[in-house]
Order: sequence, then structure tokens, then C-alpha cells
Amino acid sequence: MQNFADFLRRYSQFILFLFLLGISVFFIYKNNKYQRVLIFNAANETAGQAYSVYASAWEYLNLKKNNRLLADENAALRAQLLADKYKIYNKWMNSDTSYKQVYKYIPAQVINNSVDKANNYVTLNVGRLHGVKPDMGIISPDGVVGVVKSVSDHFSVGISLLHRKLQLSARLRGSEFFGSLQWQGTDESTLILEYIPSYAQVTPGDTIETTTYSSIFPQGIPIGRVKSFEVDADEGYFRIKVKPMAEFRKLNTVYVIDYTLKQEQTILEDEAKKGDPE
Amino acid sequence: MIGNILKYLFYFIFLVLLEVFVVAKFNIHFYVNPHIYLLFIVILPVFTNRHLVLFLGFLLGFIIDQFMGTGGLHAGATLIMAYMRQILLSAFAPREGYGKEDFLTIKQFGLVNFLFYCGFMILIHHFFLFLFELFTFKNFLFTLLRTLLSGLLSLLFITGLHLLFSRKPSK
Repeated sequence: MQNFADFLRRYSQFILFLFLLGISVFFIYKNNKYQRVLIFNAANETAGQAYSVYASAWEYLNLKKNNRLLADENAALRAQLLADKYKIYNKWMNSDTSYKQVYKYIPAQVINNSVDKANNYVTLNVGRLHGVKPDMGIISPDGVVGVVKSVSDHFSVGISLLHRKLQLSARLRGSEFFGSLQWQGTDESTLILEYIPSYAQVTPGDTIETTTYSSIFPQGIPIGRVKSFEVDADEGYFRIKVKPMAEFRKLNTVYVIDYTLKQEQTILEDEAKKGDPE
Repeated sequence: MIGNILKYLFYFIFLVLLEVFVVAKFNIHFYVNPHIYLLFIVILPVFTNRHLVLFLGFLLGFIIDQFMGTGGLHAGATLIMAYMRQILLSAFAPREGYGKEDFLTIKQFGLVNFLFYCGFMILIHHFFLFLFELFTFKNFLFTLLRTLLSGLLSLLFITGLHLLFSRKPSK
């Protein structure tokens, strides 16, 4: 017994160290599981509050620039609207106009954001109470930003395109070839698009956009532009370097995309898969 | 004694706020990722209870983790650094040994010794932080390069901050 007490006294520091290290590693491991990216708990709700105070101060300083950006976007949207109306007037005047709204857009402010980590996240000031749910897409006026991963009542955290585990299906605008887009984790201005067959036409500057093979984004949302490409001779695929459209360092106003038919689609897909042998 | 506790409480809060709301927003580059909050562990009085040092290291990192949403990355890295602190302190001790001053000053240490002590602390912290962040040994060279480049900038910031802190009591 005396020996044991001595042992404890002697190594108490080391034991405390191991104990605390164990806790740290547990949290790191838990956090690294892709499906549970962030445990958005009460403590993080507090962090979220602190960030939104910070962001509102920052917003104030950037008011002028943001106003201009929003005005530009407004102008672009208005232009589209007029064009549509013209079309309706000419051609679709008498047809049935009661279309179902398939995609809804929830405006949000980015209140925290990183670009220099191995896995980057964006925090938005909208949450469950605003209708945000996990796996909704996030876009900025320029292009795709990321996908919502965790949601609390007033905040949500999305994994950004600059996250090594986010994989998107993407295609070349104006062609039907699609591939898989992923970040490699080192250079914030380069994403890699793979599996476009080597007989497709690619030129630097081409736009890369979202495809229909996604229950997250509507098709045709720009993701980036082709910077350069090489052909993998063995595989017969392009390996295309893509510069993202969204300016990750200047993110401010973004939109969360609510695909209203998502549930219907996923339930149907799951049902179809049910009979498959594992 | 109470004054000291209040002083270090102030440093703690100040460094956390500075880290979370200023330094973390720099987003300089993937390879240049400085952190300054570990200054708190660096400047704890030499004869602080060692268990307390460990616990404070863990707590400091854990609070930073809560803001960054990084689970236990900072907690683990800061804890390891806090554990190594004792070894580094004796390795870079001034020839006459440590005085009874409460505050770990550059003057007491000598600038070169302080830079070495502080530099090693930063290297240990950054290395484990970046290693935990990738959670793999695969990109080991990246991790080393990140540690070195980020560490240099952190050392610059931390030394600057420390000079700022140690000026205050004399006025």
C-alpha cells in the first residue's frame, strides 16, 4: 500500500498528463468522424453568439462594399426577371403557370470562416429556426461555397469546398461529361476535378458547374474555372485543376438552398435499393 | 497573491480573445498559421505547481477548441507543450538559476535563452497541432514545413506581445 501511494505521488504528473491527453484524443477522434463533424452543443452556441457580435462589427466596417455587391447581384437578378417576363408574355401567356417551387433560398450571413486549415468550415447566422437542415447546399453570388453539416437553433456550420472530405459531382459547362471534384488540402485556389474522359474538349477558362446528379444543388450553379489540366495516360482521364469561383476570403452574404423534393427523392431511392443484395 | 491571480486571469482572457478574434482571422496561408495564445503557458511563473500547469494548458486549448470547432486539437497540443515546459525550463535555465520573480521575463532569461525556450515550446505545440489536424503521418513533410513557417511568425508575435506585457508593471 505504501509502495502504491509512493508510486502515485511520483508519477502523479504523468498520470494527469495521460488522463488529459486521453480526453483530448477522444475529442479529436470524435470530431474527425465525417458524419459528426461538429458537436454543435451549448458551448458552441455561445461561441456562435460571440462570433455574431464580432461579425456585426466587421459587417459595419464593410457596409459600403457589401452594399455594392448586393446591388450588383440585385441588378443581375432583375435582368433575369425582365427576360423571363418577356418570354412569358410572348409564349406562355395562356399556359398553366402554377409551377411548384423546387428550390428555396434562405439568405444568410457568414459569421465565421477559415481558409488556411486542412479542413475548413463556414459558420452561418441561420439555423433550424430559419429552416436550415443538414446537407443543404450553400452558395454565394459567385458560386458554390459548401454544404451544411451541423445545425443548432440559430446557427449552422457548413463544410466548405476547401474541406478534404467534401466531394461534389461537377461537369464542364456545355458538355455532358461529369466528374468528381475534391480539394487536396494545400492550396486554397486549386480544386481537382477527376474522371472527365480524355476525349472531352477542355480549354483553360471553361466553367465547371454543378450537375443534376445531386440532391443538394440545382444544376448549373458555377463552381469554378479550369486553370490547367493534364491527361492521366494510364487511366484515360483528365486531371483538371479548377479555381473556385467563390471568394472564400471575402464571403459575406450567402444563400442556403432548400431542395423541397429532397425527402421524396431520398425515400424513393432508398426504397429502390432495399431489394438489392448487399 | 490575489493580484497575481487576477493578472494571469486577465492574460488568459486577453490571449483567448486575441487569438480567436484577431489572429485566427488572419488566414494568411495554409503554411503560415500562427497562434499566440500559448504565450500564457510560456509566461506562467517558473515555480507554478506542475499539475496546475498541465491543467491550465488543457483548459486553455479546450476553450480555443470550442471557438474553432476543432474538438480536442488545441487541447492536446497545448497539453503536450505544457508537459514539456518543465524539461525546457531546466534546459534553458540561466546560469545562476531562476530567481523568485513571479513573472517569467526576458530580462531574467536573457534574450537568446528566452527565444530558444519559447521557440521550442512553439515548435512542440505547432507540430502536434498540425499533426493532429491532419490525423495522419501521410503528409509528414507538409506538417514539418507548416510547423517551421508558422512557428517563426508565432515566435515573432509572441515575443512582441511578451515585451508589451512585461513593460506594464514598471510604469
